[in-house]
Amino acid sequence: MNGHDLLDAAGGIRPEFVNTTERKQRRIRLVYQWAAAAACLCLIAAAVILIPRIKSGHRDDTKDQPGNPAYASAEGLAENGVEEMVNSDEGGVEEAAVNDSGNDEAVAVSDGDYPAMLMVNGILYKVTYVPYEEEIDEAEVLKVTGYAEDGVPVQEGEQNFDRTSVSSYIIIDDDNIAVRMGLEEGWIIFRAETEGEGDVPADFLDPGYGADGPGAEDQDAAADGYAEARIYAPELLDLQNRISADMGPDHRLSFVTASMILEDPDRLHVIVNTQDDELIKLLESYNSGNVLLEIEYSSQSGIEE
Amino acid sequence: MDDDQIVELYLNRHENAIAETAKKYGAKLRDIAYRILNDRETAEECEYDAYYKTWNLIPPHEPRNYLFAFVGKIVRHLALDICRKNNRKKRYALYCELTQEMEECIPAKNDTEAEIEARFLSSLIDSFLEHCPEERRNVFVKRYWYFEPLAQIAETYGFTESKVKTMLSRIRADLKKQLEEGGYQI
Repeated sequence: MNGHDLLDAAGGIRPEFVNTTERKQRRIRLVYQWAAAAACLCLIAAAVILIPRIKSGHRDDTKDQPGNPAYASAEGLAENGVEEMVNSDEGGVEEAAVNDSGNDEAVAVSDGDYPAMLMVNGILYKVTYVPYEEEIDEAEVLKVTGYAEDGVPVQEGEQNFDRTSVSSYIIIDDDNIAVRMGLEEGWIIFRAETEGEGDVPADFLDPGYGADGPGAEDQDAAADGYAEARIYAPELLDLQNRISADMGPDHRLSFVTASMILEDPDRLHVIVNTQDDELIKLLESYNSGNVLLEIEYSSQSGIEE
Repeated sequence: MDDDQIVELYLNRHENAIAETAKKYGAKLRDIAYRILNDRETAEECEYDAYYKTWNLIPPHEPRNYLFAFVGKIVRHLALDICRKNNRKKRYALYCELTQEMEECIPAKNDTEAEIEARFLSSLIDSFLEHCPEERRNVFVKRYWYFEPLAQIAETYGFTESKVKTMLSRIRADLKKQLEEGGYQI
């Protein structure tokens, strides 16, 4: 017997072994074909999902995306000497050890980026990266209520740095709150957003005046105002809401071109384009409380300044 | 047309039997012959000879469920025979490689003079393959029945070439043991 005999004898094996091999080969090739088709579909699906996000500059869930507030916070922490980065996906600051320099400047962020912010009592508070080291009274600790998908919190208790919304906060005073960005992280001071900081797009805050009013000049006058982040009296807000609801063409207060709360948080400033006593009385009838209603007559009202 | 119908044509001595066989299996049969002979023309001659032999063997045989294996066995036997006759030309690289590999399975080199009945040898290989895991059996069949190169087997089953080589080496060692147990040692 030699190699040839053995090789020749191998030809005499059972036909089913030969047939099985053929079937197996076909099955494996089919598996490869299906796997390739599935891989192509996955790629197409990923492209369909990701390309619009990339094109629109959407702030992604990924913590390393520049558009993500957590990214901005982490960047800021690094710039301020923080050793470990913010990780909002995992629940907040890993180890918020800020340097001793006491640098409490909010980190300037690039266009389209938002710093970590939290809305409390209608006021938007922005991260300062300064640790809050006072003793915390757990009874005063409040929970955040949700995550602002659009980057800027607009609802009470909403924030833009913690998708899991496990973070908590306490109110220190009117201008400051301390936030724990995660479950077991340190407390960081957030400061009330004030005019001129400019990190937040202007259009995210309700300016508080009716934009539908006639007269470009009146609108310019209204545009001079701003909504300062303050705690407003409920009566003031109620009056503001009721007047705003009846403003605009074909409404009872169509002669009111703007309604806003300016520097004084106890005063509602209203611009009208008429001197008609009846109409002014109608406007004043809205003020059922002790709110100071300040009426400004625009140039269209006929009153000379 | 399925195998059963083609075999029926042979049994009825219908002239289309060979044409249908060639249509269904011609390319694969030619490939087997070509791999071992490395010559298109000779491979085609082998294929036609195989059809002729098949014509003569059906009946009495009736390979209704294994026509390809039946004709394939004839083709490879014819091709191997050509190789053996022309072995001195040393142009059948794969044949030399495969026979050398198979010689590793022979229990005693000095037993080459012993006449071993091919059918009995086949039954021993059968018995060996029966107890082989399917994956190893398929690789063995691909290599020593279809004469496929290592690279092609590796591609078919998604292995690396070295894995196929290692697998075949272990299969041969196991086959040698099987042949020893089957009474082929001196």
